[in-house]
Amino acid sequence: MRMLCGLSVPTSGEAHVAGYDVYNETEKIKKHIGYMSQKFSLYDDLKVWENVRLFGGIYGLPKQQIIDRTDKLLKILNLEDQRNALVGSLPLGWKQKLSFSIAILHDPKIVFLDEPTGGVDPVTRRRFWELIYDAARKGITVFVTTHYMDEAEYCDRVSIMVDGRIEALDTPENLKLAFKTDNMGDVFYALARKAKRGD
Amino acid sequence: MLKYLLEKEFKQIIRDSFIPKLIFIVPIVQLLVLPFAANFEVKNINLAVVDHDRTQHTRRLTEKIISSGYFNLTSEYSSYREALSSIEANVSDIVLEFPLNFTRRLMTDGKSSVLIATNTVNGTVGGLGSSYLSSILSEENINTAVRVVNYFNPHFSYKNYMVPGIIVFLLTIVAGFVSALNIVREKEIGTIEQINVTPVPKGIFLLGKLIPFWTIGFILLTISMVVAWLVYGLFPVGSLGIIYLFAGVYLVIFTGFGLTISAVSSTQQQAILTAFFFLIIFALLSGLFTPISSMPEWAQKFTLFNPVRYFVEVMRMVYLKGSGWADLWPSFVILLLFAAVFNGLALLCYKKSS
Repeated sequence: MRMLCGLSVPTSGEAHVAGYDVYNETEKIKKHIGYMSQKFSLYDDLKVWENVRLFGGIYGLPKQQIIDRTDKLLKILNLEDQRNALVGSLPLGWKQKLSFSIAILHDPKIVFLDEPTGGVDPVTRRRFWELIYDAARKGITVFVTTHYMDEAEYCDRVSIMVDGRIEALDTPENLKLAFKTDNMGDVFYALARKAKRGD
Repeated sequence: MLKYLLEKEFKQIIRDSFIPKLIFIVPIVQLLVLPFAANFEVKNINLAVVDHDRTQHTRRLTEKIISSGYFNLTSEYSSYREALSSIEANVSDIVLEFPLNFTRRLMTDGKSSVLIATNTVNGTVGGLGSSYLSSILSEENINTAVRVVNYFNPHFSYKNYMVPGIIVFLLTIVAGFVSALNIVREKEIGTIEQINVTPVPKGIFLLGKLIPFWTIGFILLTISMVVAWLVYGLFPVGSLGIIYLFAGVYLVIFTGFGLTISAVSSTQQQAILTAFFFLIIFALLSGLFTPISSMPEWAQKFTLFNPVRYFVEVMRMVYLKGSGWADLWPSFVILLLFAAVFNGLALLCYKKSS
C-alpha cells in the first residue's frame, strides 16, 4: 500500500494508480488519491476545523469550497459541537472518522485505508463502514487492508496475500464457492496454512 | 498552499508550551550570564614582591600596583628564591623583584629595570598579569619601550566585545535547534506521512517550515539587542538595517542547517545530538570565545567554512566600529553562499518517499 501511495519506492514489478506509474509519476498519483494511515496522523495540536482547512488548502481547494465542505463534513460526522476542539482531545473512533473524511475531502479517485478500524469497538467499526459505503457510492474506489475477516465480507473484491504474494483475488462469494465454505475466515485459514515465512 | 502551511506552523508554535518561553527566557538569561562567565579580564592576581632596594619610592610603586585593583599582595620576601618557592606552592602567580640601587639608578639615568617572573601554568593569568604589571610600571618610566593605545574598546571591556558575539550565538542555537527538532518531530508523531502522501512540493513544505523560524529569529534578535542596550548600554555604532539584513541571511543558513539534520534523523534525540555536535564545533571555531588569530593555521582554515565566524565578525564590526556596507559586503556574499548550500542540502535530504 505504501508503494501504491508513493511513500515507498518499489524494488520490482509494475503498477499503475489512477492511470499513473508508481515509479515516475508518484507526485501525479498523490493528486488523485487519499490516504489514511494505520497510525492516526492528523495534527493533534490543531482544532478540528483547522485540520480540515489545512488539508483542503494543501490539495488546492478554493477558499469557499473549503468552508462549505468543512460545514458539510462536520454535519455528517455529527461533530459540529467539536468544531473548535483540539483533535488530540477527541476519542479514537471520532479521530478515525474525521481522518477518513479528510482523506476524501478533495474527491480523490481512490482512497487507501491502512487498517482503519484497529482498536475501536464494533459499533464504531460498523459506523465507519457506513462512511466507506457512502464514499463508494459517490464513485470513490476504496482500498482497505484489514485483519478482520468479517470486514472482508463487506468488500466487493478481496485479495488475500500470503508471504507477500497475492494468493486469491475475487469477490467474497466466488472465493467462498471456490473454497467450499460459507465464511471468509475459512478461506483465509486455508490460504494462510501454506505460509512459509514465520511472521 | 504555502499560506495554509504557514498558518499551521504558526498556530502550532503559539500553542507549543516550550517555544514561546524559549524565545523570551533564553536571550535574557544568556545575555545576563554569559558576558560575565566569558570574561577574560583577569583580577586577583597574587603578587609576591622582593624588594632589595627598600626605599620610599619602591614602597610607593608597590602600593600603586596593589591599588590598581588587579593584584593581591601575598607577601614580601627577602630573596628571589623564597618568592619562587611561593609560586611553586601556588601561593603567588607573579614575582616582582626590585634590584638594589633601583631608585638611585632611576634618579640618575632617568630609567631603571625590574624583574618580573610569572607562573604561566595558567597562561591567561600569567600573560595578562605581567602585561598589566609592565604597563603600570612603564607609566613610572621603568623600562618603557612600547606604548599601546587601544581604539574602539578603550577600556578593554570584554562585555562590549562579547555581547555582540553572544547575540550571534543565541540566534545560531535557537534557529539551529528549534528547526532541527521540527521535521523529525512530525516523523515521530507520524503526521509527516499524511503530508508526504499529498502533492505538496518539497520546496513549499520546507519554506513553510523556514519562514516561521526566520520570524522567531528576528523577534529573538530584537529582544537580545534591547537587553544589550538596557543592561550594558550597548547600542550599535553602525546601522541597524545592516544588522537585520545580515541576520536575515544568517537565520536562513541555520534554519536550513537544522532542517537538514531534521530530515536525515529518525528520532529527536538523534537530531539533538547531531545538531549539538556541529554547533559546538561552529561555536569554538567562530572566534567568539578565543581569537581566530591565535589558533593553529589548520584550525584557522577551518573557520573559513564556518558561517558563525563571519556573522560574529560582522556584528562586532557594526556594534563597536560602526562598519558600513563597503567593509562588509564580502561577508554578505559568503553568507549568501552558505544559505544556498545548507538549504540545498535540506531540499536534497528531505525525501517524500523511502
